[in-house]
Amino acid sequence: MSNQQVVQVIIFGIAAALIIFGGIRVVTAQNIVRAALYLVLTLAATAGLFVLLLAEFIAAVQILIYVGAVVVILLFGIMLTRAPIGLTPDLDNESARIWGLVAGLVFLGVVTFVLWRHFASVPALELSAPDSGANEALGRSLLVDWVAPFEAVSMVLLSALIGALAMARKD
Amino acid sequence: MGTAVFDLHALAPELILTGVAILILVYDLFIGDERKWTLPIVAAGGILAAGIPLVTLGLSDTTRSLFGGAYVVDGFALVLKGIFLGASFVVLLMSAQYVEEGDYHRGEFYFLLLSAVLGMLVISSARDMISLFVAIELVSSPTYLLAGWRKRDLKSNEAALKYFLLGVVSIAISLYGMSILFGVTGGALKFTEIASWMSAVPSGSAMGVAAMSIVLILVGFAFKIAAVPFHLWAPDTYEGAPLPVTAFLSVASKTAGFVGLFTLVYLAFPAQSQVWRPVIFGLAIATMTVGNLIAIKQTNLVRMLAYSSIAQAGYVLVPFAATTREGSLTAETFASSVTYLLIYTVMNLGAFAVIIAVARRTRSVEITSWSGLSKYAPGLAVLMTFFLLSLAGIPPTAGMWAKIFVFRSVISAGGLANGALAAVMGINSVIAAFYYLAVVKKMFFDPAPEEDLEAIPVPASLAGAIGIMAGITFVLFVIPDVAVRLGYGASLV
Amino acid sequence: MEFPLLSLIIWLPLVGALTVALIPKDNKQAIQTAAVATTVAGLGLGVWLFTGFKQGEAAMQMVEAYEWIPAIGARYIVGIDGISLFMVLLTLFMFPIAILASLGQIQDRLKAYAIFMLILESAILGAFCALDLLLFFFFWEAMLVPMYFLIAGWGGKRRVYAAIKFFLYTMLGSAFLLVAIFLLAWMHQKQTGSISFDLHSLLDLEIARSTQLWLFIAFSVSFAIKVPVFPLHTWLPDAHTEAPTAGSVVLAAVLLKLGTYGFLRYSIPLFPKATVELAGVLVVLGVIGIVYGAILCLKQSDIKRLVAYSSVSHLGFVVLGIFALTFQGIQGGLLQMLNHGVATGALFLLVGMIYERRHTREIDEFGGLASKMPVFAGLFLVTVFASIGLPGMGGFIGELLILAGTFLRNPWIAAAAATGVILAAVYLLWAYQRVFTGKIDNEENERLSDIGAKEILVVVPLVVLMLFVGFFPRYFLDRTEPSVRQVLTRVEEKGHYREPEIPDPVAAAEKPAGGDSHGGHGAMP
Repeated sequence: MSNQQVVQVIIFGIAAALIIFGGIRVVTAQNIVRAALYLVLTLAATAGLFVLLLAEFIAAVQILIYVGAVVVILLFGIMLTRAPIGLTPDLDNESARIWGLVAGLVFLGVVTFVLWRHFASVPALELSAPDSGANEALGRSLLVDWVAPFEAVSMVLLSALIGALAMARKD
Repeated sequence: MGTAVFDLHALAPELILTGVAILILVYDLFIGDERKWTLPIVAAGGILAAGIPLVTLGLSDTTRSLFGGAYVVDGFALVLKGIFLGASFVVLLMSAQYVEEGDYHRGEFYFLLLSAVLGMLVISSARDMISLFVAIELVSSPTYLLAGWRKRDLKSNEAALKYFLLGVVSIAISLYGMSILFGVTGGALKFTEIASWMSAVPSGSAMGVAAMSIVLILVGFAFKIAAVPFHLWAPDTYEGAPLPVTAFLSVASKTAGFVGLFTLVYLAFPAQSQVWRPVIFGLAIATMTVGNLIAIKQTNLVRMLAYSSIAQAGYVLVPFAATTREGSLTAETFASSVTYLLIYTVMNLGAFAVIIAVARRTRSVEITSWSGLSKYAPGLAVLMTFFLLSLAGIPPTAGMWAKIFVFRSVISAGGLANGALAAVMGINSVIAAFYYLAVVKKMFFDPAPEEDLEAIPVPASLAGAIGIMAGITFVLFVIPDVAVRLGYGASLV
Repeated sequence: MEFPLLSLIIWLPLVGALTVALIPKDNKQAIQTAAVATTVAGLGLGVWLFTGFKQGEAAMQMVEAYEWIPAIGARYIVGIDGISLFMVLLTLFMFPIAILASLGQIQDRLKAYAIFMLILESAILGAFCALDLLLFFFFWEAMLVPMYFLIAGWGGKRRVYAAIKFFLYTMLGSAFLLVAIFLLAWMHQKQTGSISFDLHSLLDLEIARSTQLWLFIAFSVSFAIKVPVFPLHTWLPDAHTEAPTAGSVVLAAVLLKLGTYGFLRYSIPLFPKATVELAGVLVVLGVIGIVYGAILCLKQSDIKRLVAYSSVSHLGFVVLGIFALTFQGIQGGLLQMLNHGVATGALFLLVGMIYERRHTREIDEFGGLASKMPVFAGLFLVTVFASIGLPGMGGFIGELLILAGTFLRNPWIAAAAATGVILAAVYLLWAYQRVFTGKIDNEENERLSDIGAKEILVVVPLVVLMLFVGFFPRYFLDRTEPSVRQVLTRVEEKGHYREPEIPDPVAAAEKPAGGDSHGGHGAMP
């Protein structure tokens, strides 16, 4: 393993640990504002993974849109509506939590076992360092090869937006 | 990456529908309340307009492949798109009066409905993982919202939330599987690439990972079709959602899940049937049996139909689970699944349309409130009986042929396992007949409530929906050949 | 092209049903007229069918074949032979009578009633004529819904329970049937390359012994439920008792025959090897049915239920005759199907008439009716005689042939079955005695008046037919003979079976009868 690879593995480990920790805290945090902040951590660490995969543009988009926009809107939403901030113990369900834990652990066990056992022999994808035309290539890819799903995604977002408005609107 | 030449003809249905959806949104802003009744007409017009290129495409009789094979318009896509457009048209007919009387946000309602239909059109043509995922999201997210459209009703809130949470989790599991498959195949996204990779790597360690990812991917679609044990959302969601949305979910949304399953199993994973077939075998048996057994106990008609539609999904799965001796997939099994879906769509929509009509009077969907319906609404009682008989697979209805075709495909596959499958299905159809008949009994042979027993007025659009569905159910009974031909025309094998 | 007489016969009642559907429901007179006219016209066509039938031919006659569902190879093929001829005629004969009998009784929702009756007639006729298995299944299933509504809509107190029980039993049977039909069609595809449900092409299939066994069982369970063969008979007493009079008449006279007809038309010719192996089981079940049904009859206090259980016993005879696999047995079985249809149909009609007057069916409520209703009592007695099988009545010939046929196969079984004849005499005559003879001890019965001309007119044709069959059985047996021979020849050839011969008196004296007891010691590989 070259030095570069060692560094990669270490960075990956840190980012992955942050993602998992953040993810768990998002779900377990008692206070919804804290949960939102842990979400920031998770999303930012995900951006780190994109950097590792030599996808700087996507990493930047991830930070800008998710951390910068989505979570901020989320927080605004919490502040501006009269949603209760603070502990909401009546929404917790102890027995469901245990079963969720069991199911999650079983799932984790199976996936880990399969990946551990078999994934090593899978050849790694060749990554190439982005050149100056990377964003152009990305744009072409999105708007030529993948234009159908790309446009479909825009409809997903539009419908989610409209639907959310209709849901939240006072009437 | 050459210059893009889009086959606009092939994409015309999708483009028209997108245009009309956005048009509705804008149009809704500029009209007053007194003109809102035109909205469903515009939406229905959009659906019909989208159907026109479908017909011309069908007549041109060539398979069109776009974006390097990621988006294909073939017989399968056309037949399924036809089913989706037809089903949505009928759902529109069912919702017009309902949405107006319920004082819901109308423009948004129709916009979301059309968005979901757009997703269904896309999923019929999607031939790569990304398009498939995006399409299933486009089908799902508007329906999450539509399920909660009766905002002030706690049941509707529950319906939407349950559907949303479980839906998101299961589709995330699918996505996880897709990403692992992407890695293990070395970046294959298109179904054709995945299929050739899978037949080239017969076994070994990479296959172990791929097998796991196949199972994970199937989970998301099993959720969408409400297969047992991924069905837990369905009864609550069906009960709480506005009735036309329930009809839409139980038919169109379910069919979209099947389309995903069909394309994945027959196009992406055909070489690995030993992985998915046992899974689907188990799903099929559990889905039929559990759905029917729980349906017996229901006292709420919509919940009963929810469980019955779970069981019906099991029948559609049966031909998938049938193992041919050669292990290959036959056009016959495929066609019988599509035929079943087609007929199921018609009869289930018909049943829901009658429920909506009757619920306008009874204000309840408890089975007991249907007592003596035949005394004051004989027409509706007879039509409901007709649809229920069809769901049970009893003549003179198309449902009988649907069951017969599935039976035939399983039996002609031969073998002990398939025999067991056919036996389970046979027993299940008897169980199902029992609870469908219980409703028939209530309508005809129980005393009517004391209150006023005037006839139930049925709005024209709703009557149209019921009439069209009853007509098709009967016509397909007389000439089932049409349905069979469509089924074979849609075959991906 | 020949005149499609069979199709006309099958679909005419459906056209009648559609006509009735167009008549406003308040115009009861027109509805009655249309229903009666349709069924009587059907009977007229039946006479034409009878005269056009070529006696002495074993093959199917008046065959019509059209494409139906080309995509899966199902065709519309109808035709009749000696076996189905009389079943079709019986149906055409019983329906006008059943509808005439219900004219006065059914007032409520007459229109729906007439529609269901006519649809039912179409479905039954279709099932008797179909020569394509899928078409047969189609008609078979189509009987369910109208029958369900007839029982549940116009029946007695527990009608809904009885209707659902009938429905579920039959559906269970048809699930087996459907699976077996498709297996056959699939085997046809394997062996010839094309899928087909045509009975004639399916008869040419080479089916392995073990497969035959399974398929035979699947077909036979379905038919056995319909007959009903013990122990699948439990739906019958409920359905018969709770159904309205005309429904009971149709059930007993025609619907049950579909089961025994199915044995003869499908189970035996399609699976000769399995038939030879499993005939013994059905023979034993038949005998159990005869005796068990008769014993239950003795215990009934409800006269309609008694008649219902007597069907179990009588149909046991038919099953016994068919699976004795002797010429006499099958001929007797066929004749007995006819007799039972007429006699039990008449019994249900008569019981219905008295129920209309007294609104009870408890035997204990009656007594001494003969003095008040002499004509009714006379007709009842003749019918009872026919049902018992007194000489001069059709039942005598039928039971005699069955017992003779069974005797060739196994004398002990024949002896056991013969007790059924005696028991039938006991329970029917005892019931007759309790209802009609003696003094009137219940005041309510004082007010009873004899049946009117209309009612007599309904029953008399049945009585005439009973006597006619009794005196001129050859009229029927001659026409069924070639087809029955053909079935037996087929079983002998394909099933490695030899029909027991009528023992030569001289040889019989040397070798005691019964040596040939285990019929079909064929050389099974």
